[in-house]
Amino acid sequence: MFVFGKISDEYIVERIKSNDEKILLHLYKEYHSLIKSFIMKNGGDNENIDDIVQDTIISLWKNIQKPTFLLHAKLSTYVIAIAKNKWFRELKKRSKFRRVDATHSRTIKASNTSSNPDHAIILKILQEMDETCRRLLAYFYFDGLNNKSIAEKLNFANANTVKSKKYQCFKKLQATVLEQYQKDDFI
Amino acid sequence: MNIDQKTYELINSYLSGELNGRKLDAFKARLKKEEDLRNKVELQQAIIDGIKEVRTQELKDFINKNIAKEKKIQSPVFTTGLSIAASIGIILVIFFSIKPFINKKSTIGRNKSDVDSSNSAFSLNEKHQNSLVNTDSAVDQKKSLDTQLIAKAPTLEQVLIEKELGDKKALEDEIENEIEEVMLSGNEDLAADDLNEEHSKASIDKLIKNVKSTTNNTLSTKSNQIRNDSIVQKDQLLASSNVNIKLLSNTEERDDIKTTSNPDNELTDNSEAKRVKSRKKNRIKKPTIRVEFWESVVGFNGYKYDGTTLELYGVSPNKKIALSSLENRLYLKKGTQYYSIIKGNRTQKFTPITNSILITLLNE
Repeated sequence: MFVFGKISDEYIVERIKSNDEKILLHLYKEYHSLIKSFIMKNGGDNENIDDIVQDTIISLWKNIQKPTFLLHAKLSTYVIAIAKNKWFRELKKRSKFRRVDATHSRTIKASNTSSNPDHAIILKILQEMDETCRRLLAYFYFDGLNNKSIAEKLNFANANTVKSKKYQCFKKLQATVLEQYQKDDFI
Repeated sequence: MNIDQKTYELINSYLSGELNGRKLDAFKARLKKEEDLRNKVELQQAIIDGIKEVRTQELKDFINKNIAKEKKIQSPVFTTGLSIAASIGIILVIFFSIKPFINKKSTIGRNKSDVDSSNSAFSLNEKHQNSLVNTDSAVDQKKSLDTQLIAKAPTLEQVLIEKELGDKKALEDEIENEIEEVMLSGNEDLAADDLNEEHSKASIDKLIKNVKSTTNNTLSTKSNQIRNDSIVQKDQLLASSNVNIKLLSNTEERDDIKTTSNPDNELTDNSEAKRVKSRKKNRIKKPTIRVEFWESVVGFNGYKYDGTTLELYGVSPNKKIALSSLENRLYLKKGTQYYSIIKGNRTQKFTPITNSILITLLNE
């Protein structure tokens, strides 16, 4: 578990797989300075560091929770690889925004949202929805947990109960989103 | 747009990349044909993205909240406050751990100083001092609070009384022991000499009386000894005597001076005779004052004059003194020096007179 006073990589992976959110704090503290030094060396500033660190840790969390995940290198190497991708994507985004003029970006945005329900509406409905449904859907779609694990976490009878509950929650959510979307569309 | 569970699960599998082979091809073909399915997939994808975003934000909030909390805890102000609180705590712990010793020391010191300060009134032998300290320590053991200690600390008189009572009790115990011994020996004697009971009772009573009288004597001598130990030191009256006051009249003298300085004025024999007579009368009417010679404990040099008695401190009774009164003022002549005596309830220091005219007048 502990290697020379430090928490071992295996233990961290185990905690993430068990969905122990407290390990996120350890990861943040452990890798903050490492990620910061990398960003600073690659044209970054203090402003972006916290966001990149948080995104990196959450991506690590998501990746480790995938059933197919296998740690082949040191966790720090893996963390830096994620942070590197995140930072370069951020730099690319910044250079793209500089080149694209305001009118063009507005056209892109309009074309993107024309066929999809408004993103803000979905977020608002999700935040207001029933706690159990929200957690269930989050565990399934974000954390990548299977029905059996969700049943254990949320004290459901079995995986089938989770499956039907998940469908009901989603159906309800979808109906609310559509209802809200159509309402806004007519205003 | 109602979605059945089968379609929902199928879209889920497609979006998560779980669909493959023929199933994937069939689904893609349906997507091309069915607009409703395309809309369903789009909506489901949007909702899933929203769920992911909400969860990401939730986790970010969790990190931020806890990191901020930890930063707050480790902030310099908090750390300084914590260190100050810790230091105060340590100081308090040390203070309270050594307080009993300080109390003990201060109480002993206080009692010692009490004894020292009252040395002029009392002088304790070592035994009494030990009993005083022992009593204090007993009180100290019972109640460690300083205030309580002060309240409980016995006075010097209490200690003496307790000591006396203790001695009396010890002596009474001794008496009882002696009586028991006598009775035992008496019984033995009875057995040995085969005496009758009445005789034995009488002898025992006699013995008891003897023992009691001796112990009473011992007690009284002991209590006397204790009382003798308490020497009261105070100012001592060495001697007292009535001293005549030499009355001097300044106006009279002036008149004399006037008369002598005026040779033109012829004085009749009658008037001269009257003056002499009055002078004689004045001299005859010499008032006296009681003068007491005191030895001061603190070596005070001075006087106290209440109008009737003059108490002199630091003046030997053998020393020649004289008192003069001039214009209702009393002057003391000690050796060759004159001192003014002022009436009052307090002791005053001798104030030597330096005025040469006054000295000349007083010397006449």
